[in-house]
Parts: sequence; C-alpha cells; structure tokens
Amino acid sequence: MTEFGSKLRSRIWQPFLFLMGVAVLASVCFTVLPLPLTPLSLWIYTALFVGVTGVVALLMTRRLVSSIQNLAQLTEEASPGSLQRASSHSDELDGLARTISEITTEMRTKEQTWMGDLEKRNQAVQQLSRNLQEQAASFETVLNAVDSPVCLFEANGNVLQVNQGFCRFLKVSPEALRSRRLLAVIADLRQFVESPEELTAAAEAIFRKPSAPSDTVFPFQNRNGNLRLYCVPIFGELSSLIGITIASGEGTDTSAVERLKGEFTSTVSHELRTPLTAIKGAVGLILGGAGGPVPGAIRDLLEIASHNTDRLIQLVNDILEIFRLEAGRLPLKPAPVSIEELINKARDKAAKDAVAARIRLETRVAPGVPTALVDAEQVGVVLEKLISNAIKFSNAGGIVRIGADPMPDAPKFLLLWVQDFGQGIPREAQERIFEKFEQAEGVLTRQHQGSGLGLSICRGIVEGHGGRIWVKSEPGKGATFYASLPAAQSAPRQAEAETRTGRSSAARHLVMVVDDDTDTRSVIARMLQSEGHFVVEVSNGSQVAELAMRHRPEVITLDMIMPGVDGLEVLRRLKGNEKTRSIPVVCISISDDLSPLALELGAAQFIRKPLEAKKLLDAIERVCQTPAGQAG
Amino acid sequence: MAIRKVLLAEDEEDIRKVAQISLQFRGGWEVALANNGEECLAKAASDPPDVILLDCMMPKLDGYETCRRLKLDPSLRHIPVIFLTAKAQETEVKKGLSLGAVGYLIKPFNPMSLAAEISQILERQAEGNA
Repeated sequence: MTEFGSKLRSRIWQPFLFLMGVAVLASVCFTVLPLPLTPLSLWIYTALFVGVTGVVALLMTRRLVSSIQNLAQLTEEASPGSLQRASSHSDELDGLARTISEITTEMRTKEQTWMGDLEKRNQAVQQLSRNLQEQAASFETVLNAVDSPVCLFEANGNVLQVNQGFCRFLKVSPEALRSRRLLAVIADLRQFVESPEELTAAAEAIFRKPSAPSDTVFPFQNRNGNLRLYCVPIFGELSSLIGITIASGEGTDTSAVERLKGEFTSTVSHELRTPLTAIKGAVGLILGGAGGPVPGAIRDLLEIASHNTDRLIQLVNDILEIFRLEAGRLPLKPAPVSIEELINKARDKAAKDAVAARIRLETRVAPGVPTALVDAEQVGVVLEKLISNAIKFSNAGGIVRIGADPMPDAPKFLLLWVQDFGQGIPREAQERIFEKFEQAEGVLTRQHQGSGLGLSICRGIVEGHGGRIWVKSEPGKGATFYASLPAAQSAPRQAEAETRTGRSSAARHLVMVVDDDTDTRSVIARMLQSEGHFVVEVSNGSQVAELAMRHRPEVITLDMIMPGVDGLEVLRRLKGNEKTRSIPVVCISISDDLSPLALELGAAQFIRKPLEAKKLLDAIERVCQTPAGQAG
Repeated sequence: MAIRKVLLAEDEEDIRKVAQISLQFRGGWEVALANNGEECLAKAASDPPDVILLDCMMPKLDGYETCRRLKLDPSLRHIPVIFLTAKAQETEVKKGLSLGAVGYLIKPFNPMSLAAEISQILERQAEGNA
C-alpha cells in the first residue's frame, strides 16, 4: 500500500514539478540568453509557455483521470448504483473512495460467513462419515455373528459385504472374496447346487436387469441345504441389493420337506425304476423273439412275468405320485391355461391305448368355457388317469368322451368331465373308489389291473386346486367323472372354431419379423398379433442386428431370401454377436436348400413357405420354451 | 434320416445290455456303449453316431452336463440327443429340452418299441425343421 501510495503521489506531483521546471527554465533562459525582449517576443514566449504546459498538463491529467475512470467503472460493476449514491452527496473521488471501502467491507463479511458455513459443513460431513463407519462396523459385526453364510453385492456386481461364514463356506479369505464379483462367486457356488445351470441363468438374469426383484432358492445336491439368491431393487434402476444366503443342515421346515420329497422322488424312484426297466426289457425282448422262437409253455410263463412287471411299474408310479402329493402338499403351480389344450393333449397321449382297445376318443369343449387357472402338469395327470380308466372299463367299439363346460352356478369354476359307456359303477362303490387302494370290483371278480390309487391321486390334485371330483353312473350304462377346477378371473373367451389356441398371457412374446416384402411381413405380423404377441417389423437385413440389440426380442422370424444383406448373413451376424446370440431365430424360406446351412449357423428352426399360421405359431411357442435356442 | 449308429450312455449294465439288444433287434442299428458321461463324450468324438441316448442320472458327469458339453462342441453339436430318464416330471423335461435335446424317453421303456420311438422323435424333429 505504501508503494502504491508513493507511486500515486509522484504521479500527482508530476504536473507541478513540470510547471516548476518550465518556470525555472524560462527564468534561466531569459536571464542567461540574450533573447530579444520586445513586447511581441514576450507575447510569443508566453504563448509558447502556456501552450506547451497546457498540452502536457492535459496529457498528464487524462492519464490520471482515466485510471480513476477505470476504477469507477469497476466499482460500478462490483456494486451497481452505489457509486451514484455515494457521489451525490460529496465529490466524485470521495464517493469513489467510500464506495470502494463499502464494497471491501461487504466482501470481507461475506467471506467470514462463508468460512463459517464451510467449517460447519466440514464438521457435519466428518460426523456423518464417522456414523457410517460405525454403522458399517456394527453391520459387519452382526453379519459375522450370523453363522449362515451371507454375501451382499451392489447392482454392478461388486461385493458390498461378506461375512466370515461365507468365507469359511467357500474356503476363501475375506480380502480375496471382497475383490470378486457376482458372477465369479456364483461360478464357485455351482458345484454345490442341484441345478447349476439354473443358478447361473438366474444370476445372469439378475446381473442383466438388477431392477427386477427376484428371490429364488436352489437346493443343494447333497440335500443338506440350499442357496438363496435374491435381488432387491432400491430406487428402481438406480441401485439394487443382490444377496446370496446359504442355509445348510436341518435349518428350515421347508428344507426338510424338500429334502424328503426330493430324496424319495429322485433317488428312490430311480432305484425302483432301474431294476424294473431291466426286467421289462429282458422279458419283453425274449417274448419279442430276440432270443429265437419261444415255445408255448415258456411263452405263457413269460407272459405272466411281463404282465406283472407292468403292474409293478404302474404301482410304483402311483405310489410316487401319491407321495409327492402328500409329502408336502405338493406345491401346485397354477397358471392360466386353455382347458381345451389340456384335453387335446391328454387325448393325443391316450390315442395309442384307445386304438389298441378299439375305443374312439371324442372331445366336447363348450364354447363359453373360461380359461382354467390350474397346474397344467397335474391336471394333465388327472385327465390321463380318468381317460385310462374310461378306456379300461369300456367295451370294445365304444366311445369315450372328454369335455369341459362352464359352471353358471359357480362362475369361479369350470367343469371337466370324462364319460364312458361301459359297465358303470354300482352306487355303493361310487364314494369308495376315490379312497386309496379301493377298486369298484371286489378282489374275486376283478378283471382289470390297476393299483387302486389312480382316483385317489385325482382327488388329491383336484381338491388341491380347491375343486371337487365326483362320479355319476348307472351300472351297465357307463360312468361320467366330473371335476370342478378354478377358472381364471377374466371374461369367458368365445371360442372361434378349432383354430383358437387360447394362449395364456404368460406366453405372449416379443417377436421381430424380418422380411423385405411388405405384404408377407404384414401377414406374419397379423398372424402373431391375433395371438396376442407383440411384433417389431424389420424390412432390411442390415438393420436387424442393431434393432435386435435395442428391442431384445424373444424370437426373430427371418426371411432367408432378401436383397442386400440376406438371411444367412443376418443369421451369421446375430449368432456372432454376444448380445444377440441367444435369441432363437426361426428361418422362413420357400425352399429347403438353405435349411441345413441355417441350422448349422444356429437357427432354432426352419419353416418352409407357404406359411401356415398354426405351424408358425407352434414354432414360436416351441423355440421360446427352449431359451437357449441353439445351445452354445 | 436313416439311423445307422446309436451311442448309448447308461451306467446300469443290465439296462445297457437290454437296450443294446433291443435296438439291434428291432432297429437293426449298430449300438456303441458308454458307461458314463465322460466315456460318452470320448466315444462321440472319436466315432460320431447318428443319435445319442443319454441316461439322466450317471455318476461323475450326469446326462444334463454331458448334453451341455456335446452341444458346446462344434463338431458334435449336430448329433441329436435323446434323454432316457426315470424322472418324467415336466421340469426335468424342460431342463433337458432347454439344453438342446430333441426328446426324451421314460424308463422303464418297452424294449419292442424303443427303436420305433427313437425314430419317431427324430422324424418329428426333422418335420419341425422343414
């Protein structure tokens, strides 16, 4: 400041010094030099003097004033309007000085406030950080106190927290484990679970889309525990918590039941069925002539063996079924299903036996039948058994009818029935037959083989769904078995002709249709849309890969003959790209020529034009059920 | 497609014998045998068959894992795989099919119709691809 002050002072003194200097110089000139001193010359000297000093003084003043003007401008920018106010009461320079001092004071106060705020905020952050550390420490303590192995991951797969139990389980140090990521840890866990494929698939699905909640249990191979993999999205896409917990030993109730059920159905069924397979195989082959001609007496005895082996096999099947039903109140997985489809499937399955018994199978599904909400596999078993009974107790040349009707008195249910025109069932047996090991005929008159468990199984399944099973029969006139089953709670569908396939909402797929011909494309799209599928149309082969990555369709229909980038090239590109490789591709073409090559390249299926709706829709359904499409 | 050679992977000796005789007698096919999954992979690689029959439950490498490896191998991927299983629950079936098998047969099987059922499965597969 003092330096500045001295500079400023010297600048102010400059004009004064200059004037003094000029005056002295002038005086010296006049006294020393022999200059003429006429009045005219005096005027000239004065004018010169004034002119020169005037110019110089002006220049110097301007320099000074312009600096002050700059200062004034800066002040105006810093605090608009304050300079006007200050200089209205006193002269400009004073005003300027005052304003500047005001501004600097203001700034100093602000600075202090900010420093104060910053200090407070720093303290708060430090406090927060300490709290978090305490929480993390206590969380870690809690986690380690829990024996069960637990490992938590962030949405991006990094390990968030892992406890000692987990480290011990995998025999890996905590540090090593902390540096691993989700899929690597899952890979290590594969060896323990019964279905490693499913575990990997589930983990990959979570990793790809961590915003979808999921919670799945994977039983262990040794039946001594299970692994639970769950994903909890927090704030939607922003972050998720992915966790793996391992429950081992005689932990939960469900694991005990699972174990029981699992052990019995898996191992024991295998143990029972294996020797039966060998016996049936050996006896069957001999009877079939594989060892040469079989003389009459030997044949008769072997027929007995074969016959009884089949009875034993049926008994084993039924016992296992009953056990499965009862051992844990077999978890039924109801889903919307077309009852017509189930009936058709059961009919097709029984077709061979029906033909052998010379029975005709007919189906009668009423038009207003609602969609069923049932476990398709289990209801299939019921139909199978009822149809098999109907065939068994019918006379050759007879008819067996299978049908479904709505139940207007009980709109939440539908009625499934199987009718035969055989020997019928006496009244007193009509309740009894649903009991285990009961058959309508007495032991002595029994003509038909059977385990006596079939109807009991049916009852277990039907009642498990919340329905009822009963029979109406008159001896000699046949019998009709009825089962009420839950209906899906939507308006009954109006069945249009036999082409109605009654697709459940679970089976709607996103299909990408690739064809350069607009008409073909729209025909295919309409076929798919009328079944409830969603369609993305692509007209140019070169766009397929990119659009497939963007839309991630569940299946792609691909016309093989296209200009530019043709079907084979598109297929090559799709299968060569990590992101699109797993999307099943259904190739469509006029000729078979490209079929082998397409299949080799990884197509899931090849359909020939002209396209039939049923063929296409069946193909779509089939490839969507095999998520890997072409494996590898 | 005409089948000439079948590779059967089955750990039970009696079932191996019965199945081999059945397929030779009724199908007229050449039948190669493997005791387990690893042997199956080795034999398939050295002398590729027209179809592979895989038992589901085998020690060391089970049927599912064997199937997965077969499908991952570019030189073996094209051979149709059919599972032979004592378990016929839908979940097992779906699992097998999702690994790339073209069908499954339930044990105990009828030895007089085993070959026909195999042919039928392959025909259906070929039809589906037409």
